[in-house]
Amino acid sequence: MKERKWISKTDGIVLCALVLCAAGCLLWRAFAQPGAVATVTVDGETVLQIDLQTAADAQSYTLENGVRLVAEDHAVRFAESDCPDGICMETGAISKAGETAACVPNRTVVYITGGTANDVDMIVY
Amino acid sequence: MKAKTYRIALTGLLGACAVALSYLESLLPTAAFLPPGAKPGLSNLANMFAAEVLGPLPAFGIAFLKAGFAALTRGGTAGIMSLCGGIFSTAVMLLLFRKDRKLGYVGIGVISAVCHNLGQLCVAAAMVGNLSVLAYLPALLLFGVVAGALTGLICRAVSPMLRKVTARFQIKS
Amino acid sequence: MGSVIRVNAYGGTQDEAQTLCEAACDAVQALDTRVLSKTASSSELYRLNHTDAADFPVAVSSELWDALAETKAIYAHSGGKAALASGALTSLWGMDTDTFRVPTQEEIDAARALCSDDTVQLDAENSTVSFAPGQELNLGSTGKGIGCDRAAEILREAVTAGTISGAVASVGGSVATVGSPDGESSAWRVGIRDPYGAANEYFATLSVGEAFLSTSGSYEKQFTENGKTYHHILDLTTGYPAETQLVSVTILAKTGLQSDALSTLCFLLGEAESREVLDLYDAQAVFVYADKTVSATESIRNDITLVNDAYTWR
Repeated sequence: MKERKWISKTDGIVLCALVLCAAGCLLWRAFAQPGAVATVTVDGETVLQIDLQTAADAQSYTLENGVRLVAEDHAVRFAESDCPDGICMETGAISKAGETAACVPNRTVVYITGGTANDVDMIVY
Repeated sequence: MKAKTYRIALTGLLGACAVALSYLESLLPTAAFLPPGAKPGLSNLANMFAAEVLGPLPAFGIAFLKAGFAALTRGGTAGIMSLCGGIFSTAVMLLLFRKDRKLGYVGIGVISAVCHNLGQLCVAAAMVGNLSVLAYLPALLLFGVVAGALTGLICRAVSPMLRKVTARFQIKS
Repeated sequence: MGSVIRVNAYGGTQDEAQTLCEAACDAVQALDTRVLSKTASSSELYRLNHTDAADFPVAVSSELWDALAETKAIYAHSGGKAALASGALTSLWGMDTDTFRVPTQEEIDAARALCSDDTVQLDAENSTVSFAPGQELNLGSTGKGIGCDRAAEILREAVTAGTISGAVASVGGSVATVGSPDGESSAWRVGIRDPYGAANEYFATLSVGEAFLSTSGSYEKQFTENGKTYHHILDLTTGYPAETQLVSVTILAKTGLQSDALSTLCFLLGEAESREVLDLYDAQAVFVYADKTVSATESIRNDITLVNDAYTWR
């Protein structure tokens, strides 16, 4: 039986495809607008929405499951969680539309939306 | 030593290696540009070798062992995520080693690493009930490519030696 | 008033919300065609304006009387710059029918003479109205606010009944917020139209609880004749569009009528002279100047976020 190669032409194609795909997504994301609203969900249910545009001074939100979030400087982060690995807190502060921070053990997700016109409830003119 | 006994012993050894590698990785700090919690996944080396040389049962066995270790040290959630990622990537490895002749070690390493991440992410999305965690996908893809390539290369380097040993015990791959 | 009416309801089932929104829109529309419109011959105001002076004083519905009385009361603070009886001049400029033209000075002087509220008599006891021959009463600058009041009434009933947690209505740009988006304490986010941007662009967001908001801006209903651009907010003391450094004024007030009337009034008065009347009605204001600087009354300053980098605080 022919020995399997270290790296083959097909490998190259697969590699390039994956890298291009990922890089494209990341590049597109790099131009994301600063987000307007942070939505917090627990078990898929929205439990809290934080207006990031007005969140300049630190504000702390403690959820029913004990997770504590802090909104500060138009960004939001996990500040306290009893999860074993603390990955959620490692994520740091997120502020751009499309960014997400999650604490899977506590079933808690924070994601950022908005930054464009549909982001207010109404426009007065 | 009988082939069967040897196979079990080797599976155990590989499992131990996988757990040791997992532990060592958990000591590494997460780099700032990486998705939180992302690890190189060198313990996949054990799965990969088992999938290539020992067959499905040992390969899945190692995946379960790793998941058990993760559950014990980092909690049930980490365990489930490790299990789903591990099973998915091991299944894909097995398939590729059996059916595909075009991919090299690097290719298989990369695809299985990406599958591992994908599996974990899907479970995470299901557990939190929110698809927004898929936002990590691009970063995890990119990281999976690097880590997977590394795993593939190491596997290729180590594989002939291990193969030599197993051949002596008439283990058919 | 030919205005776009929008109602968004939150926290109810889709069907209920849909029904409610339609009901609110219909009610506002009906109020306009039945009572407030200056140009629709079906409206009470139209009939009033076309009543022969010999028949004065004439009795009107309490709905119309209240609207006329409060509009007149607010414009009494304008020093003659705005009036309930501004119809002669707005008609002359074609403001009511979107058929703009620049009148001659003689025409303007003649029309201005008919725009004083001193000759408008509103009798509360008998709910009657009378004014001088040739005068035209105009609710053009308060009608949208009154529409908001009507919409808010309907929406508040639904919130009280628990059908929805809250709703936001827009009648031609005047906004009413009722209840809350999620049934809890969270605020509404209202964008203030960017005077130099497209219709869906805003330069600032304002977070409010239950409130009525209106904006008067020179960017609206502009027209150009002989290279000069005219806007629609007339200063009755000159008979021409107001000369001001302001490009828009947004008012947050207790009722839609107040917010709508005050936005026009404060646009005409300017920031400094608006303070007194704003205090009187316990209203808040955001002033936007032509150089894209912004100022606001103290108590809402912290609720405002400038989202367009071109705008700065004054």
